Amino acid sequence: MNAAQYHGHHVWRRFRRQQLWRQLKANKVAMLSSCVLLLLLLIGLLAPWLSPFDPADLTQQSIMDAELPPAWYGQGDSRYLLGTDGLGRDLLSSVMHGIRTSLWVGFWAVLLQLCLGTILGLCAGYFGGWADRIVMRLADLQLTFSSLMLAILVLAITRAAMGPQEYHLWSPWLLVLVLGLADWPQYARTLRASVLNEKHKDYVAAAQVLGFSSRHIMVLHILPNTLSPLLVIATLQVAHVILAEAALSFLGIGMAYGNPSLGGMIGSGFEYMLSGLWWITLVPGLALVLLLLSINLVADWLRDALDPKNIGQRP
Amino acid sequence: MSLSPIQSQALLKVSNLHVNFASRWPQEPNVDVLRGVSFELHRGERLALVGESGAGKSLLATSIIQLFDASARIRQGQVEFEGQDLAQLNSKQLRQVRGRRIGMVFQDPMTNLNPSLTLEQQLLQVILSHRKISRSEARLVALHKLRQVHIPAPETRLRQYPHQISAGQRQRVTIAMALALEPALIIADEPTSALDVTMQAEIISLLTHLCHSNGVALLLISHDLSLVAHATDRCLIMYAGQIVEQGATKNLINDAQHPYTQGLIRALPQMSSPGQLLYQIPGQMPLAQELGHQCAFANRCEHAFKACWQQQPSMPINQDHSARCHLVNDARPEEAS
Amino acid sequence: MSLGASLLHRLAMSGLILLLVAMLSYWVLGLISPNQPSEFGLAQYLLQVSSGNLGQSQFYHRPNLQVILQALPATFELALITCALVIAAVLPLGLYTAIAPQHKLARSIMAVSLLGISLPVFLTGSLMVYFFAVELNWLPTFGRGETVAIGPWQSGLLSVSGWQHIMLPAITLSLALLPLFLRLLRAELLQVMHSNPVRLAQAMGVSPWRIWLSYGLRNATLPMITMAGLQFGTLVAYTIVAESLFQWPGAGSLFMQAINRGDGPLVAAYLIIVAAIFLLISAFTDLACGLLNPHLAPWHASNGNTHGS
Repeated sequence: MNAAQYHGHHVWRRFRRQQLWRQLKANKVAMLSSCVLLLLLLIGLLAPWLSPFDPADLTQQSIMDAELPPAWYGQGDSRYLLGTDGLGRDLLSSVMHGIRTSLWVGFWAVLLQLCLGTILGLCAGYFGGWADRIVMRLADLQLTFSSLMLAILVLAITRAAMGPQEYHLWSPWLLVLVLGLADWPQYARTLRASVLNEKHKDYVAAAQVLGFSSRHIMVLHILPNTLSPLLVIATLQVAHVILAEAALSFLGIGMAYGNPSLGGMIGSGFEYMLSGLWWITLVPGLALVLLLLSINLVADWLRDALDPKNIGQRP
Repeated sequence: MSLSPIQSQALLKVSNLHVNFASRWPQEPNVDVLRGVSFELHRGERLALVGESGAGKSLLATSIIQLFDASARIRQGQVEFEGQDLAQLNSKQLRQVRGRRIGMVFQDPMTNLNPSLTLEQQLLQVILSHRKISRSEARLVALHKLRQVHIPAPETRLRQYPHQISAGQRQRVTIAMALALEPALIIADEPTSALDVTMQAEIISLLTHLCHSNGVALLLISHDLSLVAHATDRCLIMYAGQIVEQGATKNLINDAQHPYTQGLIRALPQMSSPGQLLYQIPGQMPLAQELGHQCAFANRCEHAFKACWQQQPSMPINQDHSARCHLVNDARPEEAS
Repeated sequence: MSLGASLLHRLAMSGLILLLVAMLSYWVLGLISPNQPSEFGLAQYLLQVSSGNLGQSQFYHRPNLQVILQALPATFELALITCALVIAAVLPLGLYTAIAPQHKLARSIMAVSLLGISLPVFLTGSLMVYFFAVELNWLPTFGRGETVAIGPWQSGLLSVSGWQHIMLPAITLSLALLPLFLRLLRAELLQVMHSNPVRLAQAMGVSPWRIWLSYGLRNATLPMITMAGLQFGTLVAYTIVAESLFQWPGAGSLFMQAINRGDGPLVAAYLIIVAAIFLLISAFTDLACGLLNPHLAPWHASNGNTHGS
């Protein structure tokens, strides 16, 4: 890769970052969902300090205050802004902590997926041959089976083997592990396709001739050119993982019913809904939808904005 | 065989056509890609449209039949065909014209034919969309047309898929499809560019011969001047979205007026002078956004002078052979609009 | 590879996978029910499984195979009605949003579908339960209703109450799957409409509806089937969730109950059967794609979206 090409490559990236910001400002929907997402991120990060109550602290719960509707209703209590659940816990605090949990699981699981998928995809694409065949076979298998199905089976069996109490001690880490290991194929495939595409380009041949090692070429030359699709996939996957965690917690094989998880709250609130206490399910439900929707909208916009066909057009 | 152009009314008359693409960004002004194209085509006439890629030839072809890409639109000008302005027709009326009155032959038959339908299905679709006849009757029409384009064993061919026949035969099928409803005009957009050289002459000859014998007018678009030299009556040279020279093909080639045409002719490899370096017109055709008020060819023209940079030359009207060039026109006493 | 050889290859691979799954299930059995006297070692277990004996449920005291097979009709019918609903909805909606993407209605449908992707199936289900059962009291929310026996198959589709009971779960599941397929169909149709063959057909005046049907839908079929095959796992996962929510007595809720009760043998048998079903479905999808491929795959291979020079 000659100096001019390398230099041009970085200038192009810098230019694109500026353009990204302007494109974001132009698209109102994307702008709005980014703000919402940012807000939710802040809530999640600062939940332990922001929330009026601590959902895990039993001394703060009072059975007398159980099943109160949101504050703007007649029977509501202004201390509990969004009402309380069946055990007297403040819903607002629980939801804040639930968002925190979701984001935590989402972040770590996607990081794991990203690393695993990137490494496998790079190797498969660059080295080809049997490495490629094995990785792709595994990927096919895993894609057919679906990550949620796999997670349900693995976690359910683990729970049955460990027993409920012990399981719920380990569940956050198990969730991250299982969800992280289950969804790497998407990254691997995309990366492999990109690598196969780039592999035949001149700058790779130039680097090889200059004597750079395969690892160097892959990481420093090929990978930067394939970052855009990975970013989009990773963003979408955060939503996917959060959804999966919620579904698993709803089924009882994710976070414990006591642990603040949006899915778990929806699950335990279900029986109350039948007696007409709709807010116990709906409040965490709305929070979950808001979180997922904002991530999906931002990911959608990101996909369009990073589309190679749009690069180079002046805003 | 054709009537004298002066006596008959034009079959197709394009007047001052400006086509632009809607810009992706609202602040950016829409830039014209076709800039004031005007020409006439008469019944039975064979007209060549020659230009390099990017000049706007294909855009002109699709603009005539109003088949636009998502963001292209006519900003100004008219496309009159058989007395009707095609731009004013609604989609139902347009569908009456397309295929039935104007047939199209596109460049690469492999990507233009549907690979998952048999040839019979595709031919019949076109025929039955315009004529209320039975399937078996339509099939007979299809067979007849296939024979006209010299396809051997047409009954077998009908049952086959595009990938099962050769490239040359595929293009013949596309020509048969274009002729199927006996239109008044065929627009062929680079019909041989995707074929080998050996096939090119054959297909061009077939196309022009069929048009000639059926009285069908032909608009033959190509980037290769030598290809259309013997096959057409008149020729238009297109550059940067404008017609820069027009005239009878023979006159144009023997006595080219516009420097660009002269360059094109000089660039053709000559068998009579082997071993000589091929001539190339220096520079590149400017993009639509880069054009200003000056002549589009000025930056590449050997003869460019002051006026060329200040003002766009205009195309004289009502002349058999004319060019859009200050050098040519300033020497003439009459000025045109 | 010839047909016979590839068939043999497939059978061998499936056999191998089932063997591995059986070994896995043996291990799972030991994990979940360690107290159960291990009357058999791995080899004996494998022999037993290969002869069709999948053990006996600790909870039901009946052969596992029987228990699971009894629960399958419910899940199968739910899946069937869900698929029917999805197909019935996705075709008209997909066509409409692709034909007229600029219409306000089309745009709102796409916006709603984006929302749909962000709505978890259990939340939709809960809301459905709340509105239709608690508030409006139109449809029942639990169980399967009256079932009629057709031989060994207990069908809920032959009685009015059966249909009433299947509605909510099926609608919930189809709402969860609809957005994905709708967006896929729309994207495929739009891509087809911008392809060269369609441009030629338009240039030759072929009527729009003929183009939409014989080019659009026809060429969108292959990706849809492929996606359906890929989504099968997700469908099963969502079905498990829906069955829990609606207390639908199918194979999904059976599994969760077995987990909660620590019924090792049943879980182990379940794994083997699930693997077998997945292999069957994947073979079926491959077969369907294989049959359609010669006709439809060339489209996707040679699809030229560039409009000429």
